[in-house]
Amino acid sequence: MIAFIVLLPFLVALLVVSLLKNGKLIAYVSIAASLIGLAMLPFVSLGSYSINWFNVGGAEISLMSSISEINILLLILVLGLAPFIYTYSLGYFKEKSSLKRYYVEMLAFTLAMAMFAISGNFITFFVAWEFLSVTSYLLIGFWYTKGSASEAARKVITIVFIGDIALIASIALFWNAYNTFTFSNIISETGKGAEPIVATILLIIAILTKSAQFPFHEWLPDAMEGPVPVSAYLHSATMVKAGVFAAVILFPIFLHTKTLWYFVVIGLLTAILAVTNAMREKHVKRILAYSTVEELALMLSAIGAGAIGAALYFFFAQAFYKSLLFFSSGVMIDANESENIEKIYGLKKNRFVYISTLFGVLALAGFIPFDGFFANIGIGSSFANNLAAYAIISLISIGTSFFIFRWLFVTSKDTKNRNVNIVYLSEPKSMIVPMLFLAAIVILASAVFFYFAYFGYMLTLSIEESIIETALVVVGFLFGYLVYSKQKIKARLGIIEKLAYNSIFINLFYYVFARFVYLIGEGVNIFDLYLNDLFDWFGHLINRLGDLARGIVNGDVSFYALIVIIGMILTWILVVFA
Amino acid sequence: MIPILFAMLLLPLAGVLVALIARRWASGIAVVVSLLELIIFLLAAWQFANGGKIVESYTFIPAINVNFELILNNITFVFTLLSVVVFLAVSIASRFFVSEERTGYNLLLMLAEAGVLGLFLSGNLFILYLFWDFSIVALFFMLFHFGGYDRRYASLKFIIYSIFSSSLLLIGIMLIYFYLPSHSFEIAQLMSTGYMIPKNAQLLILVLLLFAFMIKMPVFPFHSWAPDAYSEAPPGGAMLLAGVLSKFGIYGLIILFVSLPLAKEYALYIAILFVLSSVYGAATALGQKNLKRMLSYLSISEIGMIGFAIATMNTLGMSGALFGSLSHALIISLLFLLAFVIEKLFGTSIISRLGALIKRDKLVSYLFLFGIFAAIGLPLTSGFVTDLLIFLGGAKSFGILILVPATAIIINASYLFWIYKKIFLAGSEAEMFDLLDKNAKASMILLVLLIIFIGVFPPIILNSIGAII
Repeated sequence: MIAFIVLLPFLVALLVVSLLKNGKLIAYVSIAASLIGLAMLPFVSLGSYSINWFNVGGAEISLMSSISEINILLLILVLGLAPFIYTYSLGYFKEKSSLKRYYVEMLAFTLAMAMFAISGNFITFFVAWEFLSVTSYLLIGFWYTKGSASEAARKVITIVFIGDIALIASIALFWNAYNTFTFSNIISETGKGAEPIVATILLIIAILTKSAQFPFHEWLPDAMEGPVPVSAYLHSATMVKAGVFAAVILFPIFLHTKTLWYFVVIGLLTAILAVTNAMREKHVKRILAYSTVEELALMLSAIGAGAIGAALYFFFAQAFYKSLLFFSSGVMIDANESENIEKIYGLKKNRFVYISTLFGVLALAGFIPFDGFFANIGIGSSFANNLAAYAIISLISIGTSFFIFRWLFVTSKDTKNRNVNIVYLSEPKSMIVPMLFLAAIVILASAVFFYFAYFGYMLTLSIEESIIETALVVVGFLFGYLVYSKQKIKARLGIIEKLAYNSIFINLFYYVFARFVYLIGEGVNIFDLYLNDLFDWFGHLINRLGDLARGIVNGDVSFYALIVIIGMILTWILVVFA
Repeated sequence: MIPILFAMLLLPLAGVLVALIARRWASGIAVVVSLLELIIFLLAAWQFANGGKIVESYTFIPAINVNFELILNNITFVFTLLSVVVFLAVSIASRFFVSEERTGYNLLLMLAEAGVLGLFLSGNLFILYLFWDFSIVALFFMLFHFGGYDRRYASLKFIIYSIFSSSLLLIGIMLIYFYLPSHSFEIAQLMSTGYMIPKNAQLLILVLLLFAFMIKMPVFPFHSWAPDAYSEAPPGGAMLLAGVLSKFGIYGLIILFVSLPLAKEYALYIAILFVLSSVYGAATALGQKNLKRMLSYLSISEIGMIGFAIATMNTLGMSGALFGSLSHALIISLLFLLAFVIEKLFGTSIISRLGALIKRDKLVSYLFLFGIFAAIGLPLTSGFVTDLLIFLGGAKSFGILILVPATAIIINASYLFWIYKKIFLAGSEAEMFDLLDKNAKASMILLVLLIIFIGVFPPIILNSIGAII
């Protein structure tokens, strides 16, 4: 069956929704579309299909779908999460007037993401990739009247757009080298001769920008200015994984150009930066965002180490518990009207929310038998041969467990404020039910670990690794418990604590860089003004010459006679001597 | 057979006569004329698509072998299309902008239309030169009389640069005439037998015409006239200058590159010149305080990329340049139109004085965002096809030199998103002096629809272009 058909429900819904006015109706249509999309998933079969778009001078520009097991994996995330996200959004948006704009943008995003998931050549890939940037821009700046939201949207698109242009330049260079846009052809061509190294580096830049890796990673926490469902869907589960996905499907290119170690180094560095930030951050969603950055970094470094199976299982498992945690942060923000974890209380009040959140936290930390545990095992074992990398991964594991339990303990403290408790208990079902479903998936997805061979990768579990992993997670948990729940340890680390929050330095770097570019612009502008003056001055010069020439025509007959005589003498000299 | 191209040329002139009689309806007549032009053009395009190029020839000056020859071929097709469309948009939008002396304005508009169409359709360098100057004069008066505060300075600068450019062009044309074995002004002759011109003569022609076209495009360092002219011109004038007049140089450059084999030897240096211009334009735009001047530099930056595409000398690049000309004409006209709408509605185009316009006018805000996305190459707009073709052609001929225009696009995007936030989203609400009327809306929607249409169905244009080299 033609894979493009999975796009159809969203396309139709987009058309229908743009004609409707009633916010709730729009939401129902969108939810229905996402359910139909999900229902189509079992009918997607392996194979490829292409539609010609246009041909120019030997370049065949066509839209191509190519379905392999990996594409299906991403499609499961995109289509599987959409109904939950859409349903949650219905309860999340209290004012129904902006629902239309929201669902239009969200449907457009899902469309682009599904197209991305099935893309079989660089053209389809780029079209979808660019639309991901655009819809992300629109959704982050959803509350555009809020200054911070519009600024965050601007910052994100500016950073992500660097990757977009790097990608199209890289596509052009790959085309020049291999004369094809199709992934399968490119992959079969690699390793046969000179590799286009510049194109590969540009592709890596595109991956790093999209998947929020050092030095571009600070856009992801800023993206948290968007609504909660947007953060849950775009900025944790699907869109940010576009880069990781690209690294997986184009793996042979990096293998043959020997650039895989870039991913390992950058990935581990980013993971360290993200974990230390997450420990000090106070914004409830930004903590989760840093955690996403860390997880993406681990995925990329696992790919760099060649453990694609492990990376892909992480890729799959992370989407569910991270969406779940974002959903729960949405409830917290709604009840407390604050995004600072120190000002958030009473998570325990609503049992359904608390238990599902607990599931998410345990999964993220990596407790057995949640899917996060298996994901962490996979990542850890991919570095089993490299002791230094394994040590870093272990520290990151402890840190992850620590900051997520901090997140849980700080937000679940009790309060006497009755309003908060009332809001917790009166949250709409459309918000709670998706959370319960996701909590169930977080456990059930563990089983996928053992059946991952379906996606082409066999994953195995050893007892030693399980014990080590559990020990690391428990250490992190104990730290979190003692510091934030029992408040037994009052650690004051002073300068180290301040340095740990490295987000400030990265943003300072962005600021300095942007200032630098702007100053170049100002400098060029001043040069341009002088250039303009130069040309004007040239005009004045000619004017002056005209004035001088005019001086000769002064009406004085004797002066004219003098000129005639001088002319005659000059002519005579010329004639005689030449 | 009906002389369909000659009719395109005569129609605006007939419109001028009618408008002189029925002065009150001048602006309506201008719209009708532009609309009829579009219809006639579509007929001609249909004929061209089915039967190949259209040639109409009339005896003009037999003594020097000059015929009044009009041609619609794969190159002139694109330029004629973009002129017809931009003129239609301008004539509609002008009903919103021009409230006084409508007759004079629309007369100049129709004269300019005749001049521009004559230039692009002419199959003969002699005629091309006549119409080149004719349209410049019409635009000069439009700028001089209907322009903004600093119009005298800007229009004087414009005319001096233009005359300088057209004198170079004249010398170049005469050299071509003398050195072509057939002693002919015909462009077709030049293209097919240009290689027979002796090498040093080729060099001289190349240098002279390159200067002439670089001034007209404009390209760094001969661009100083453009920001002044674009920002001081009346709204329609700016759209014509940036959208259509800049294509004179591009059209000439394409003829030059196709005709003279010598150009290929210097292609790399010329390409470097153009990409530097594109980065220069982008960097200068970064420091602008005025929206209209910023868009002028954006235009310079994009024109530089089109010049780069021509210098690639392969089918991809050339198609990119031709498609890009059409795309640039539509997008920059849309952006200038929006900038002038903002100026009219909010009384200023200085970026720091504008703010939170989205609360005042949603349509303008959405369309401006669309314009930004189109300018930086969002798929399904014409900008994407242009960028893709320029990059593919560039990679084929110059390899990693494409990183320079890529940088220019990134810089363009960075300030465009910055001004979008500054003007439309953030800050305190600006005071509103006027309301958008249906003419301005119609003009903007027309451009937007065309940008999307050719972005989604590029084969319509690309198949007509075909292979040039």
